[in-house]
Amino acid sequence: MTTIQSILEKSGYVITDGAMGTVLFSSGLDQGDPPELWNVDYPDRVAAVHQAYYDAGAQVMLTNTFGGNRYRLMLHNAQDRVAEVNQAAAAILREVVSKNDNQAVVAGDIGPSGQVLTPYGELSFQEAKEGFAQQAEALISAGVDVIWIETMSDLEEVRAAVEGARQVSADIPVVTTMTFDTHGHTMMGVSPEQALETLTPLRPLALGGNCGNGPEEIIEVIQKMHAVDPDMTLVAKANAGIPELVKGRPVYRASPATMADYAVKSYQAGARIIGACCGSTPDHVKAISQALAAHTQR
Amino acid sequence: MNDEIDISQLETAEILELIQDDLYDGLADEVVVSVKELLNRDMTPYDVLTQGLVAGMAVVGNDFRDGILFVPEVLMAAKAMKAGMEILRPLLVETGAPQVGSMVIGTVKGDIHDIGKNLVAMMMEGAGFNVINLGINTDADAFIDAIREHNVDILGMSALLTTTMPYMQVVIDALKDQGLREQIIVLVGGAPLNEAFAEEIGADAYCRDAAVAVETAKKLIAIKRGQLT
Amino acid sequence: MPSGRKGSVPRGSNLLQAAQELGVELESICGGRQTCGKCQVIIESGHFPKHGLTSHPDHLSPPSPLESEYDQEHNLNGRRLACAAEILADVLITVPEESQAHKQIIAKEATQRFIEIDPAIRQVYVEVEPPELGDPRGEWERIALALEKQWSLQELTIDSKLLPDLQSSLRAGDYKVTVTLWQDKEVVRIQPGYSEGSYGVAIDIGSTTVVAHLCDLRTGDVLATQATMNPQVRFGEDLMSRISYINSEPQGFVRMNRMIIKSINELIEKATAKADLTPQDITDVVAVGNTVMHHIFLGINPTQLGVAPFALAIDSPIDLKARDLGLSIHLSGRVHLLPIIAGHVGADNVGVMLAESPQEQDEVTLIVDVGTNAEIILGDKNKVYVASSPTGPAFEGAQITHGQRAAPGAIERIRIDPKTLEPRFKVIGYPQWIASGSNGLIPSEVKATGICGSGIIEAIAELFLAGIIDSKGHFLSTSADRSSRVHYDVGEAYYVLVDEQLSSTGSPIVITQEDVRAIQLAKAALYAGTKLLMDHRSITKIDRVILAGAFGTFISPYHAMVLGLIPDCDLDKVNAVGNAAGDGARLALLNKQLRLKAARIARTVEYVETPLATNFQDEFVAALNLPHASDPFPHLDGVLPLPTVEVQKKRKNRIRSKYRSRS
Repeated sequence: MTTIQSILEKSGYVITDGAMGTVLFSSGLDQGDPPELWNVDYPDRVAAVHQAYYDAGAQVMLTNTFGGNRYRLMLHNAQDRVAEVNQAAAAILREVVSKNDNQAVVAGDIGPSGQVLTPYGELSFQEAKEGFAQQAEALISAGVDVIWIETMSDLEEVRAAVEGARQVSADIPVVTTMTFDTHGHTMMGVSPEQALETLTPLRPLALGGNCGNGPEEIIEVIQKMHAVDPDMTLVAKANAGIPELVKGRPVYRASPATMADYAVKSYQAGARIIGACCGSTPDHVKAISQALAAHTQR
Repeated sequence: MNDEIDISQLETAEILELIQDDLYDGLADEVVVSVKELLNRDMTPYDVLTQGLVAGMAVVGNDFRDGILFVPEVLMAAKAMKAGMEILRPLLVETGAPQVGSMVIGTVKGDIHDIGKNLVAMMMEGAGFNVINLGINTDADAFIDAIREHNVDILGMSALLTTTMPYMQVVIDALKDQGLREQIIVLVGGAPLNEAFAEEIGADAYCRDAAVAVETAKKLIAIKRGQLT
Repeated sequence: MPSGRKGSVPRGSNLLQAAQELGVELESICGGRQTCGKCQVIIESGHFPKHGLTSHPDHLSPPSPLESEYDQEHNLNGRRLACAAEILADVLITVPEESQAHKQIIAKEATQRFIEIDPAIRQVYVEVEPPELGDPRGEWERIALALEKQWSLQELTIDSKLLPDLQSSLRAGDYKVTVTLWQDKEVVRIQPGYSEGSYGVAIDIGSTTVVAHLCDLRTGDVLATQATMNPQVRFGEDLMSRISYINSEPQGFVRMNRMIIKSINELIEKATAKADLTPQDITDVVAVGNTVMHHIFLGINPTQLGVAPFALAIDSPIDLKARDLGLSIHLSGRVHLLPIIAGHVGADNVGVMLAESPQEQDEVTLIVDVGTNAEIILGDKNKVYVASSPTGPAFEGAQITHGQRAAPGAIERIRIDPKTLEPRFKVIGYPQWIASGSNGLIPSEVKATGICGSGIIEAIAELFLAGIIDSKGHFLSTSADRSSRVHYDVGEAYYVLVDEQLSSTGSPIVITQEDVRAIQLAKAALYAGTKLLMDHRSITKIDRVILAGAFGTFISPYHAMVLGLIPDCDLDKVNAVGNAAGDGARLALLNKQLRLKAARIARTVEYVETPLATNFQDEFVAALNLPHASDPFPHLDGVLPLPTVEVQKKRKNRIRSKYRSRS
């Protein structure tokens, strides 16, 4: 069976996929609409994106469920559809992976609740954990291999998500990444070093950084984390550049070549699970895949 | 901590400093105590507001911008400010503190970020504006209803996602359709925005932080009322 | 330099001719008429087993009457005029350096360079057949014939302005004249008798500074250098504002053109006066400058250079008569302008490339011409690329609180002690380093007036090394705790470099957060431009770096690298060369082959449009950090402050901490 560990043992590094939301815009998704509902309404288009990433070299792929928790779905009046949407998403990805000889890992994507936890905000730890458990239940029942918690800013929220997932399955592997886009810290003031120190006791399979202000930022995060614990498996999933507003729409400017360069630098800094985030496309992942293959062969 | 200092022994200037620093440290109860003491000493509510709370918030805003404070600290400071405002608000109305203008503010539909917006709302209130805060995920109809109901001078819109920013255009177009655009000042803000975007969608100005928002609002209102050219 | 030439010649052969046949180039201006004295040689005495011969001065014919005359006037000191001697037996000849034609010299002045002398101007001495009744040929035609017969020069033309004085010159010289030729094609000067001395001027027309080097075209010596501020500066510090001025003022262009010509004429006057010459002794000029300067100098309105597609009127090298431009040199004197590369990379860069020759090296060279519009040249013998990067005037002192141009009183060097944060600095015009305690020891007229470009670069780098600013360029509040020189407050931060007692203005000279930002922006633009050129060529490593520009002489390579102005490179191979453009002009003046080379360089260099490149933005942002967000700098290992795990501290609660400490 293909697992993250088996890929690491074989080639020393793992390639993840790239953005889903921004790629779906070009398939007709409207700005402001939730991509998660397409798992039910347009499953073929979602499957096509997964396939494209697989073809580009992705070995771990994320389900289209970034905003699939009840708090985010509430904004679109879909809070009752958590199970439906998450199961559909996992099934779609599982099918794509099966078709490709099960040569990839299915990761259940869990993103932030969008709320601020107490005491600074209104959402309690328990409420957050319940929401994440609900999402994890749907994902795990539909057969994901790994729970992938990403784009987090608050350490307590990460804990809520990890505990929520473990409530459903005590030994499901968990990967978690945070977004360090505010003066080298997350929005809530967490430094990469702090993240690594606080989250290690939760026994994640890997941890790292994703999203944010572009490749350079992620490389710095990896450097700092690696300095604290050279043995932890680190994840780098940078945006394809810093978004620029072009006619009111965000455009991510980094070329595949730039992302290839970042992939190698991340690897040199200590990352072993490498991919891309917002603004990226299968072309970027392909460039990353090729660059790392070339780099590690020397 | 309160027992450490007997504020009745402090100079008025020292209490103002204390309010600023306690606000910075998010000490809501202490701020309330200091505010009450200053009012006891016959300082006008307006002066307590501007020299204490608003001055303290300015430092918070600055250090947030420079990466010394992060969201948690800012939220705690905002709570302390709110606690102080609870005391001052009714007194400001009573003493006829200058009502500079009124504003409806909200985060646009699909967006749930409200920290920045709340900061703006608070600073605007601190500056003497009447603020109606519609919260997050606000659609065009909700904005327009509120504008009509309260007959405000300013509409403030906030968005933190590049995917929700375009909705601001939808709101502005709705204002035009309903013949409301001319009589209202539209200010927009949020991390991914910039001046060019504000111009493109037809807003009056882009405000990069709460302090700029207050200054811009004052200026544009003065122009609108013919006080400035 | 021993040429090692050896040969057998028939007895009685002329020594000069024999030498030339053997490929030894001896100087000769008078064409072997024993008049110019340039072909002096030393006859060795003794037995030389290595060469298998015995040499002796007697093995040459005795000195001729003309040679003896020359000896009496000029003292040959035992040497012989090769043109006057015949070889009677074996001789070993040593050719002294002065007698070598096309000699290699090391030009003294700002930079040492090896130049082969082969100017466009040369003088030859001829004896002309006087006119006779029955021989109707014109006197010019006779000169031309003499030049053909004695020097094998054919199809010559003569500058028309020489005709009025032609006949009187011939007669004054008794039909022996010294003819000055341009490119062996046209006669530009006729002097009676034997006259020696041809001079030229190399001019670098910079946006801010204009420099002229007066050169002896025969020896290659720089006789005088004169510089002045470009008078156009008053119409605009940068080029675009000058073009705007031209567009808005009806007489704007005419005024600018006249001013620069006048300025250059004045430079030439002063320079020639210094060398006891007159402007009329100048027969050749080579000028370089950026495209706008180039066009205005030529009398071409540069308006098109202000808008895309930035079209030039001409980009090839051009030869003109000086009088057509209004330059006051010899009436028939010539001007040559080096070619231009694309819309913004001017003749001055071609000059830089002539001087530094990156296109001939195996190693990858990066040349950065630091200025308002920085030019970046990168490549090796396979290909050279060039780009310009809009850096802005921050490096020349603009946009900096206490920034100024380099002038006496400006701070040009700075060091900050990393422990005490105390500064020391050096001011232009005063040899000693000044530290805060040196109040009483400094003459008041050398008090610091401001900081010039090289000083600012060192300042920012030193602030970073001392931990006063972090790698993002932000002042650290913790540094305010370490020294009272650092002020850190809401919305403003600065470092006091010069206390008021040491400042000429009476108020302190500071470096502010905004100043740091301005320099970051400028250097990021430069670095990003360099990076894009490197990507273009798939270069990841640079072998040597040259920092050029009138301002470049004083840049410290170490500080430039700490700042991240240039990419990582072996510091021993980073050099500041001063005014390479001016050197290039001088090279082209002294060696006409280099003019052809310049034309080739301009054609083969590839121009890369940087801001258009899609990842310019990303590179720019990454380059804002000191020295860079992610590019490694192994040559600065151990030097750079550790990646700041600086926890920016929250402010203290003033009242509570005061009272807490009391109880």
